[in-house]
Amino acid sequence: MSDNLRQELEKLGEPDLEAVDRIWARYTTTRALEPRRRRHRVAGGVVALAAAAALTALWANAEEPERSVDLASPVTPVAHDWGRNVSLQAVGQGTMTGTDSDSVLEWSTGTVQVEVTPKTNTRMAVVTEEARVEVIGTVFQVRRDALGSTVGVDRGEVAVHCKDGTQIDLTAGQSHTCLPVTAAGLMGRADELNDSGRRGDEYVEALDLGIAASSGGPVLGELLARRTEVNVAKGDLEAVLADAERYLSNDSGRLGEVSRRAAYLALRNEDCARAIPWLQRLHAQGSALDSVLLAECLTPTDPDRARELVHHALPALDPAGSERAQRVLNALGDN
Amino acid sequence: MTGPRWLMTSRLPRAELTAHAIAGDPAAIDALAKAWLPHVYRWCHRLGGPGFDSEDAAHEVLITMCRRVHTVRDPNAFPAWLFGITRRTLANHRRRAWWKRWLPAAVVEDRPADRGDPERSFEAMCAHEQVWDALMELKPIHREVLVLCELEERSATEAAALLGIPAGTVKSRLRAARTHFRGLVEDESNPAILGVGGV
Repeated sequence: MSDNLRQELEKLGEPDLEAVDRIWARYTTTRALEPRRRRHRVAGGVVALAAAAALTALWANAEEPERSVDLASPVTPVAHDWGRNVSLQAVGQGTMTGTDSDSVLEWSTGTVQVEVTPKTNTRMAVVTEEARVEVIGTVFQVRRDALGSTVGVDRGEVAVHCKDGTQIDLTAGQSHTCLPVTAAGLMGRADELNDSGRRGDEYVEALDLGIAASSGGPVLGELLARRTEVNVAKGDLEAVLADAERYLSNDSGRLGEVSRRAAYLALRNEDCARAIPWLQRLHAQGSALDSVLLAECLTPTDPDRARELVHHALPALDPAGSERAQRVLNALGDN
Repeated sequence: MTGPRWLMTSRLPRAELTAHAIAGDPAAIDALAKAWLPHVYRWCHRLGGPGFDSEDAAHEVLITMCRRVHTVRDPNAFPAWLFGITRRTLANHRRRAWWKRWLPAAVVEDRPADRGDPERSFEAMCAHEQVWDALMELKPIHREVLVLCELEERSATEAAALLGIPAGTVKSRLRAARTHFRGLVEDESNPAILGVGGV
C-alpha cells in the first residue's frame, strides 16, 4: 500500500536542483555582509554574570559607527542585511543610514520589505515623501509609487505618521496608504488611478486634494481640467463652470477642451447665457461648429451677429454641421 | 554539485561539526549550513506547496540557523531544532504571501517541464497538480510525517527526532495521513468529480 502511495507522491517531481546552488550563492552573500562573532561559552555563573554586566556597560558606552548604503535595484529584488537585526528585501531606490541599532531608510521609489528582529532594542524607521514608519521588532513592507506610500504589516506593529497629519498604528495584516502631499504627487496618483481604471471616489479625492494643495500654475490647470471631466459626467454645471473659470488663469494647454465642457454642459441644461462666454472662446479659436452653436444662442437676442457667425462658419462645416447651420438660418428667416 | 544524486545522497553532518558550529566557529557554521541546505530546501519545497517560494524560505532558514545556532544546547537536538525553524519560517512565509504580489519577482513555476508528447505532458501536469492539491489538503502535522517518512524515506524514529515527538505518535499520524491522502487522491482522480466522464 505504501509503495502505491509513494508512487503517487513521486508524481510531485523533484525540486529544482539548481535552486540549491542559487540558495547557497545567496547565503554566502548574506553571510559575507554579516559581522562574524565567535561565541564562546563561559563556564561559571558568577563569571558569566560579570562578563554580561561588563559587556552591557561596554555596549551602552560604545559609539556604534554610522554608515550609509545606497539601495538601487529597479527590477530585480535584492536582499540586504543591515547589521544582525535588520533585513531588507528591496526593488526600487533608497538610502539607509545610521548604526546597526538605530537606522533610517529614506525610500524614494519601489517596494521594500523590512524585517527587524524583535526584542533586540533595534530602532528602525522608513521615511518616504509621504510617511514615516517607525518600528521595533516586526516585518513590514513599504511601497512607494505614484499612488503614495503604502505600508503593510506582516508581523508585529508599526506606527505610521503620514505627512498629511494622519497617524495610525498598524498591526499584522493591516495596511494603510499615505497619500502624496504635493499637487504634482497627487496628480501622479490621479494618473495612476485613471490608468488602472479606478475612476471612482479615490480618483476624485486625489484631484480635490491636489487642487487644494496647489498654489497655481499648469499643474493646478491640469487638475482642474480633469475635475471638469468628472463633473461633466456627473452633470454638475456649477462645479464645471467654477473650475473652468479658475482654469483661465492656470492654463495647461487644454483651454479648448475645458471651454467645450463648460459650454456643452450649459447647453445641455438649456442655459445659453452661461454657455455663451465659453462658445465665444471656442469661436475665437476658429471652431466652425462652435460658431454655429454660438449663433443658436444669439439668435433670439442678436440675430445679425448670429447670421454673420453662420455665414462665416459655413465653408468649414461638415454635412452634419451644415444641416445645423441651415436650421439656424431658417430660424433667422433666411431660406 | 549538480544532479539529483547530490540532493538525495547528501549525508547529515556529524555531531562534531554541529558542536563546533554551536561553539561559534564560523567555518563550521557555514559547513553545517551547506550540509543541511538540500534537506532544508526539500522540506521547504515539499511542505510549502506549489507556487511557494521555497528558495526564499530555505535561505531564511539557513540565515536564522547561523544567527541562532549558539542557542542550541545539545548537538543531537540540532536536527529537531532546525526543523522547528523551518516550520516557523514556512508559517511566516505563508502569512506574508499576499505581499509577494507586490514584488515583481519571477513567478515560481512548479510544474513538470513540457517535453515530448503534449498529451502526456498534460496528463503528467494534471497528476502533479492532483497530488499537490491532496498533499496541501492534509493537516500540517500529517503533511510533515508523510513528507518525512514517505518521500524522504525516514524511519519513524528519525522522523520522531526531527519533529520532537514520540515514534508512536509519528506512526499514528502517518497512518492517518496515508488514509486521508489516499482518499483525497482517489477523489481527485474520479472522472465524475473532474467533470470528464459520466456518473
